[in-house]
Amino acid sequence: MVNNFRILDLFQGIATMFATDSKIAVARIVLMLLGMLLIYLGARKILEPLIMIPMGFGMAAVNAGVLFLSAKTTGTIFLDAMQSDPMKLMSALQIDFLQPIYTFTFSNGLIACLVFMGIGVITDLSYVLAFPLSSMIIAIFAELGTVATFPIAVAMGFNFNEAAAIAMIGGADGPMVLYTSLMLAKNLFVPITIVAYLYLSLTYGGYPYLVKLLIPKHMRSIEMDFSHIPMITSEKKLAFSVIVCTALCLLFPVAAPLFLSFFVGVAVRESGLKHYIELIEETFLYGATFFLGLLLGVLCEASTILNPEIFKLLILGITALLLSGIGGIIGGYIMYFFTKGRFNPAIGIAGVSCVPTTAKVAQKSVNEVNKFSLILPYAVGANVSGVITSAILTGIYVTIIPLFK
Amino acid sequence: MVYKACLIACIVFITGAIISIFIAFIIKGLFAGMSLFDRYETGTSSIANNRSDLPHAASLR
Repeated sequence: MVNNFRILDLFQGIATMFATDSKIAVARIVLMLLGMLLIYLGARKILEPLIMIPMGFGMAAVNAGVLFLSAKTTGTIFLDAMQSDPMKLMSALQIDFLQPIYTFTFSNGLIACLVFMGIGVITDLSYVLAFPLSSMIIAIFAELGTVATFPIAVAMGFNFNEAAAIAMIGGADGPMVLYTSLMLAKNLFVPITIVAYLYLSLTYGGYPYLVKLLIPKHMRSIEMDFSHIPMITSEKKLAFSVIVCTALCLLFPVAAPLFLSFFVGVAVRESGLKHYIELIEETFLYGATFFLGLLLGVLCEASTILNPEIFKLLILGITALLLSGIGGIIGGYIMYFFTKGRFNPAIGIAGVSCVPTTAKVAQKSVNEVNKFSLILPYAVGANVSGVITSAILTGIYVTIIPLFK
Repeated sequence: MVYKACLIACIVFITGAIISIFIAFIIKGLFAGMSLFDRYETGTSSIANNRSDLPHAASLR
């Protein structure tokens, strides 16, 4: 018995490196290092720390903690993402420690809805209601990436369901990408969501260059007029959220959980329900974001990342976000010409619904050329409208794609 | 396949645009309706205030 003992049997994480394909072993080491890098970049606030720190830990741990499940198979005791057989799933629920959270919150889209509910609670609709037309026009143009990436993805060999899920990266809204990919392309939801969240963290660094490239200095320095802002009461915001939520649920029942989650969050905020606000903001939003990051990291197993589709997804993801940014700026220019030069086109970038990052990007790029120009209220209006239009486009895609099969 | 995808993309964009603009007009309509309601409420409360003077007016007769 003792004679058969090898020292590597004691350290299975290392032993499995030698027992599997060398490509997988190298990918595991690269992903462990990448996980550490994400933690570092998150801690330095270069990337979004709320997602990147748990994601980096998950990525490093899942690729390190591979063990022999039987004499010939290797695996982890984190979770089994693709398990659909009820008996095997029951067994996984009792063994894999993150399986209950994955099965009961990820695979049914609950986690996306919880994040969206939290976004609703922290969202102030005042500026959308103050500037409804300009905000909505900019937001719909900022969906250019969401729309244009769809045929590009189809041309690159993806089917309609997968292409729609990939195109939603252009909406720059994490919960939407998660929801659409879970509804339409479960087979690709892991790589799509990972690519989306990695890119969303980069918008803060990339979009300012796009604004500088496409909008000349004299246009970026335009000061906005704040003399005719209507007063927006909580009653108005509450009435708006009820009416729009009901109308959107009537139009797109498939995306009704998303609409309900967002607008119930808004309604809780505007009704001043202090205990509910604390519950949703402190517990639901942060809890869901933490597990979202951790599970995304855990899903980054070497075998998943070595999927040949990943490279295509990386190209399509950046194309979608780039097109959305350009679309938003086109929307800003349309408002500039519509108002005869009294609208700062830099607000357009805020139509991309990465709340509140793109609104901050718009204000920052304006302040670089004119310290006294305040565009943030308009930018926040466009930003929140972007969230609403992303939800609408999610609803349209999820409804329309099955009809074209 | 790609032509069909372009068609779907156009439908998605146009439907999205129509609904977004519709929402913008819901907001405008909501504000107009609520300000009308406010005016109506202010009007009825001023009538109610005047009515509180009625007993006094009646005693004058």
